[in-house]
Amino acid sequence: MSRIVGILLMLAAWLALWGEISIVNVVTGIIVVALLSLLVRRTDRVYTIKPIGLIKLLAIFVWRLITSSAAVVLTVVAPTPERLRSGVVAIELSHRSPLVAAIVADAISLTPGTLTLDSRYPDEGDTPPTLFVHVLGLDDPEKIRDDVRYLEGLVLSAIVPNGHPVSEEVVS
Amino acid sequence: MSTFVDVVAAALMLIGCSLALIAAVGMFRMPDTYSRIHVATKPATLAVVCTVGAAVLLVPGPAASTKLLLAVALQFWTAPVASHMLGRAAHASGQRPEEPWVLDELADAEAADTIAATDAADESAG
Amino acid sequence: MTTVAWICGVMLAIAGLLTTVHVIRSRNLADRAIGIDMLVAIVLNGLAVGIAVTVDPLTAALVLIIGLLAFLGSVTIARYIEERGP
Repeated sequence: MSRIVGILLMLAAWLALWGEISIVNVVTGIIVVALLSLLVRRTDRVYTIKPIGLIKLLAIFVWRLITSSAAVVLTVVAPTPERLRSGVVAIELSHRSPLVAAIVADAISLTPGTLTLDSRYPDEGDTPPTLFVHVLGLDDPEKIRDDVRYLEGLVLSAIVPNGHPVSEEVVS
Repeated sequence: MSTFVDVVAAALMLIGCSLALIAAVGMFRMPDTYSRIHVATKPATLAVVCTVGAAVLLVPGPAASTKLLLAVALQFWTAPVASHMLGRAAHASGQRPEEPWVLDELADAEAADTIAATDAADESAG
Repeated sequence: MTTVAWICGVMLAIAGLLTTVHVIRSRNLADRAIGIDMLVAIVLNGLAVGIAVTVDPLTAALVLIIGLLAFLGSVTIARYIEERGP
């Protein structure tokens, strides 16, 4: 079922890109979409999406992009030593899944003043990964850790990875 | 400058281009590589989103608008990833935050890793 | 619209000049890579302003393609710096 929806969406995108719905466009669209679905391997879905959380997450992404540019403009136009102070903070996440860590790292890079630099995934598979975040305008590492935990809670309310159970104290 | 759409598009273009200018000026005023990544990638992304959004308002027909909206979504999606990879490469090649920096826990973690690796190598060799 | 496009063009030209000077003046490869990413963003902005002036739908495909290739280029340079040093 979801495969047919995907095929129809791709066909709609093809028609929108060409701009007009004519027989030639529809036929070539069907050929291209069929070729793509044959070439792309189907993998199992490792997560389930909750739509309301996802919309809220995307809205917060967009809002943070806008405020991060505003903060950067302030730093460029009026640089003070507190605003230019920087450091790299190590933050331990509380969920094991690499998918959640990746999305949180993406959200951190959009937040004003923070940029994900590196991550450590321990080999045992039971401890959560550690993210290293460079902060511009650093005054308190604990504030950054609280912000990252808030982001992680948001991501977990939008995407639940299969196979890694979400514990109660993270989501709340 | 007749319709409301024209005015909104013009305002968006001006905002976008001034953001790009501030990003370029900021690259000069920042003391080290990591702050330059902050200043160069974040306003530049928003500037592209703004100006291409203005172009979407002005161009007729669904073909061009779809392409431009795809370009916006693409820029929005890939800019954090690109800035993260550049920051990671800068750290791996030895750049450190410039004085006065507060703490650098990634360098400490890397030092701990190399100490652990040399200890393990000594144990397996000796 | 034409006046606005001229003002935007001047701003983008100054930004491009500053970024080029930064690319030339910087001392290691990571700084240059950031400057080039910024230059491509300025080019995308310029193309979008061009679309606004001439209302030509063919430039939209250019914007999309250049955006894709810029991302690929940034990631490639970053991987190279990581493995080979500055």
